[in-house]
Amino acid sequence: MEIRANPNRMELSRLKRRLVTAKRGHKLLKDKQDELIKKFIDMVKQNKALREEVERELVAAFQSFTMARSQMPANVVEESLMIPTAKVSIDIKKSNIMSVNVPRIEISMEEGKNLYPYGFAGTSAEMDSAIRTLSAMLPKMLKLAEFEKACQLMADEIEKTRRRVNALEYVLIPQLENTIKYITMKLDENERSSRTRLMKIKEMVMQE
Amino acid sequence: MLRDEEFLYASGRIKVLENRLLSRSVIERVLEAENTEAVLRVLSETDYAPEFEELESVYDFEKALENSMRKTLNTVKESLKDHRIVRFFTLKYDYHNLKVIAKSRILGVDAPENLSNLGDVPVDELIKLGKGEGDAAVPETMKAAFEGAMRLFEETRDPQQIDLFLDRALYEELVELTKKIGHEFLKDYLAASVDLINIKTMVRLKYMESDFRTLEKSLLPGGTIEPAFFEKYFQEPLQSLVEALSSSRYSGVVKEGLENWISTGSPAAYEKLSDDFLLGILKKGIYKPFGLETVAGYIGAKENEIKILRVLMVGKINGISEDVIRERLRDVYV
Repeated sequence: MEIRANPNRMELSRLKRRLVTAKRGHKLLKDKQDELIKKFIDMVKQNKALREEVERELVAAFQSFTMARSQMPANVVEESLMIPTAKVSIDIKKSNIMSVNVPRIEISMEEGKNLYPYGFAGTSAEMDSAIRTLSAMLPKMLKLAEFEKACQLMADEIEKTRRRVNALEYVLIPQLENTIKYITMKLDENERSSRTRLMKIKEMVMQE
Repeated sequence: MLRDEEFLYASGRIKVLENRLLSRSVIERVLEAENTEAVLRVLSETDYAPEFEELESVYDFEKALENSMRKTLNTVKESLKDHRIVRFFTLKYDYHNLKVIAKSRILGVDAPENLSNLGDVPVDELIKLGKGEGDAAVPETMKAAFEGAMRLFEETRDPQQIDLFLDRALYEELVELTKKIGHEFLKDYLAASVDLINIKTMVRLKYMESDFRTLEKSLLPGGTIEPAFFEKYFQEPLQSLVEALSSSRYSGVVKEGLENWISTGSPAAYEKLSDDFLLGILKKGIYKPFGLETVAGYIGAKENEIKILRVLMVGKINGISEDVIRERLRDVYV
C-alpha cells in the first residue's frame, strides 16, 4: 500500500525526515534484537542444563520415596506426612534484562527447623533420605521456574522486536522511499511541463 | 502363666492355615512376573484370591492386604478365648488411628482419612474422642495418651512430638500387656523388636544431625539395651556402635546391616535383616505343635507376608527393577 501524499515540497521534506527517523529506529531495534538473542541463547543453555539436572535428581528422589513407601502401609505414610514442619517462603522480585522484566525468586527457609514431622517406631529409615533429597530439590526447582519464566518472557520480547524490525525494514522504509521517489518524479515532471509550457508561450509570443 | 494346652484348638486351626502362607516359590513367581496382571494371576492361586478379586484397580492393593489381615485376625480371635495375644499385634493400629485423629484435629479435618480398621477400638469412638466428646468409648490409657500428645503439641507446635509421644505410649502399653500375659516368648519378641528399632532410631538421628533431647524422647521402652548405651554411642562414630554390639545377639544384623548402611547410605539391608531376625524368633511357632508360640508366630508371619506383598506390589506397579525389590524382600515363615 502506498502512502497517499500531496506531491509538494513540504510533504517531500516531511517524508524525508520520517525516513531518517525510521532508519535510525530500525538500526536501534536491530541492535536490541541481536543482543536479546545473544542473552536468550545463553539463558536457554543454562536453563537446559538446570532442567536436566533437576529432572535427573527428581527421578532419583521419587524412586527413593517409592522404595520408602513400599516399606510401610499407605496410611502410615500419609499419617507421617500429614502436618509438615518445614516452611519455605518465597519473595518475587523483578530484574531488568534489556528492558524485559524477569522475575527473581528469593527463597527463605526457616533455619534450624526439624525437617522430619514423624516418629521413628513405625516408619522406615528410607523415608528420611527421601525427605532429605526432596527438600534439597526445592530451591533448585524454584530456580528452574525462575529461568523458565525469564526465557519465556524474553522469547516474547524477541518476537515483538523482530516484528517491529521487520515492519520497519520491509514495509515502512520501502514505502517511504517509494513515496519520496514518486513525489520527486512528480515535482520534476511538473517542472518539465511548466518549462515546455513556458517555451510554447514564448514561441507564440515571438510569432506575433 | 498361660499353659500351652489353652491353645490346643487355636493351634490346630493355625497348623492348617500355616500351610496356606505364601511360599518362597510363589514369591519368586510374583517377583518374576512381567506386569501387574501377571502378579494378579499368580496371587489368584493363593489365599489372597478373594481379596484381590474384589479390587476395582490394582492400585487399591492396600485395601486387599488390610482385608486379608483382618480376616486372619478374626480367625485367630474366633478360636481363642484370651484375646490379649491378638491385642499385642493390633494395638499398633489403634495407636496409628490415635495419631491420625490427633493430627486431623490440629488440621481441623472433621472426617479423618487414613484410619486403619485393623484396630480393636471402633473408629467412630476415636473420631468422637477427636471431637472432644467426653463419653467416647476409648480405653483410659489411650485417652490419656491422646490428651498428653495434644498438650505436648500445644506447647511445642511440633507434629513430630505427637508421633514420638504416642509411639512411647504404645510401647509402654505393650510392655504392660506382655507382663500381664506373662509369657517369655512375647516378652523376648517385644524386647528384640524394641532393641532393633532403638538401634535404627539412633542411626537415623545421627544421619539427621539431630540433638540429644530428640534421642531421649525417641528411644522406646522395653528393650534389653539401656538408653544410657545409646546416649553414650550417640556422640561416637557409627563404627564403634557396630563394635560395641558385636558380642550381642544382634551382631549379625548390626554387622551386615549397619555396615551396609554406612557404606551405601541405604538402610534397606538393616531393615530387612532386623525383620528377618524377628521372624527367626517367631519361627519357634512352627516347630511347636501347640502353644502361644504357634499363635503369635502365625500372626507375626502374616504381618511379615503382608510386608513382602507390599514391597512386591509397589515395586511391580512402579516398574522397579528386580534387584532393588529383592534387596528389600523379607524371609518367609514356612
